[in-house]
Amino acid sequence: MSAYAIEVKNLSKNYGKLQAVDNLSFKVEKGTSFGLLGLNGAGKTTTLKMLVSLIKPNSGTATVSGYDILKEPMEVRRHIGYVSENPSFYSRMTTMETLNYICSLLDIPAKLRAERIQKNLELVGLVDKKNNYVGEYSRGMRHRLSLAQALLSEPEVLFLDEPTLGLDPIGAKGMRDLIVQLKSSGNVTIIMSSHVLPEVEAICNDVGIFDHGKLIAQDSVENLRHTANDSLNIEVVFNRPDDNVARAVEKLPYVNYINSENNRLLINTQTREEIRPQLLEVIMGINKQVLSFGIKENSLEEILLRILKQQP
Amino acid sequence: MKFTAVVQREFQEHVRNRKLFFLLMVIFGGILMALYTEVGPTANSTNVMDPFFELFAVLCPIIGIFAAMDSVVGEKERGTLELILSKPISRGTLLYGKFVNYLIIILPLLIIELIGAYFWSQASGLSSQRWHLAMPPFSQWMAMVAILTAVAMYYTALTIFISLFAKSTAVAGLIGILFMTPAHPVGGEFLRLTGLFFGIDSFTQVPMLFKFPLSIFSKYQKFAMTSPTDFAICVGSLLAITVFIMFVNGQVFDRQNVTFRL
Repeated sequence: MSAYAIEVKNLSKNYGKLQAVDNLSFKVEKGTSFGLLGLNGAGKTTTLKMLVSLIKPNSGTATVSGYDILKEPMEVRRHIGYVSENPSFYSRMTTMETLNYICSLLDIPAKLRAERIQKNLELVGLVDKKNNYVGEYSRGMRHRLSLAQALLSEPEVLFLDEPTLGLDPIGAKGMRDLIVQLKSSGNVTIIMSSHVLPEVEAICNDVGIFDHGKLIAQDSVENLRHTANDSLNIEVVFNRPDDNVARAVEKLPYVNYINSENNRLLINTQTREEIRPQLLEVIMGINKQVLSFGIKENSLEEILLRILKQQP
Repeated sequence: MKFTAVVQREFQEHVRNRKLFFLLMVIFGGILMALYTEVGPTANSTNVMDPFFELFAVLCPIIGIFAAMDSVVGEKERGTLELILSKPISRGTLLYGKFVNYLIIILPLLIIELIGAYFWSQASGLSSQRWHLAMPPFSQWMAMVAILTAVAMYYTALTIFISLFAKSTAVAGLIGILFMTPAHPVGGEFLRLTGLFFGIDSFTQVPMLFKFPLSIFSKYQKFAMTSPTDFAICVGSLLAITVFIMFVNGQVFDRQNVTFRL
């Protein structure tokens, strides 16, 4: 048995002249969580849909839980759960009716259904809404129901396409906590695409960065951050905005670039340690009213943008 | 099991969105129009069946179109197609389940109400006192019911095909109505002129092979009610076309690069 939950081999998909996914190859180990990152139109959703066997690739193939997405799409769907970025349900069905219908489509035996539905409704906190029509649901509740229906098959791989898209902060946190809870169980491999980078950071062990249909980087968040640490971000806060300091600092040979915003100055420099006291000396020589001076760690967002900028 | 689940869900949907009730009232309204308004018999009518057929030859396509116009495109509009197709169900099963549900909601309503109309016309004395026309034999009335039922099935299958490609439910309905031309008197006139062009002025002169495609024309359907052979050709070919269209629908849907949300 393969140690990988997902193995993608030279997967490509085009819509007319648009190359949505271009010769994509990657592997995801069982029990881990993998984040798909990239700007809009980078090919994340198309990749997820091909892996769920909703759309067929033009070339290449992939296995999900050991099943080929082209030759065994039904087996793939039987062993996965999928939460789409905009979950939609039949508005004139109740929660129970919806989940029972999904159970029928998944061939779950009738005697197991009630228990499984109850377990998943409890997990997503919709037990008290089980007899409500789904049409009455808020967006956040629909997302939670979507997660409940995705878990009915007791999936080996769970695909989450922008799972918190459009949710308010409380709804997003609730959804995120649910996913983290699932991840900690260790029984399911999670594949997630998201724009919310702290969310990916919190949930995923590894990330793949997509650009124009290509996977341009794949590593752990930690390793990507280490790779990106060839420069240093220093943040200086003054008691009031000061353009003189920004102008002087920008001219220093060891400074890559600066970003000034109100009384806050972000300076990207080379990583040599002796730079920091030199820089502080220059700044204090112009403006002594420094409220703070410190290193700002690269966020995943900065890493993503830097990697994307390096692309031709 | 999955097929039954799809049929059950579709039926439940059509009860809850009142489509079933609407269809019931459309057919009932059609019967009332045929029986009690000036849509009734003309000077050329030979029996009470004529006005019924004229009206229902147009109404049955509308019933089929109305029932099935949101079959696939409606799922795309609601965004539910993605949810269902991410489960281990074939697209064909989904489509055939929907089609069977449409038959379940249309056929009993149509057959029961039309049979009811026959006995009502007879029992109420409408045929003899209002129209001064004889009632046709029940077997001939049932021939009309069979043809109309087959017409409704044909248009249901055709509308599902249209719904596979339409950009919205409304567009699917409008295109369906365009395909109704053979059921319309315009289609009959087209047949008449085509026949005259070839020097044919009666369906009895048309070779057997050409009668199969003619069965979608209401003019031929009306003629078919008077001849057992033509009745068999007409109903048989309408059912065969319906089965063929549904087969094509399944194949097309299975290979289609579906847009999941419109």
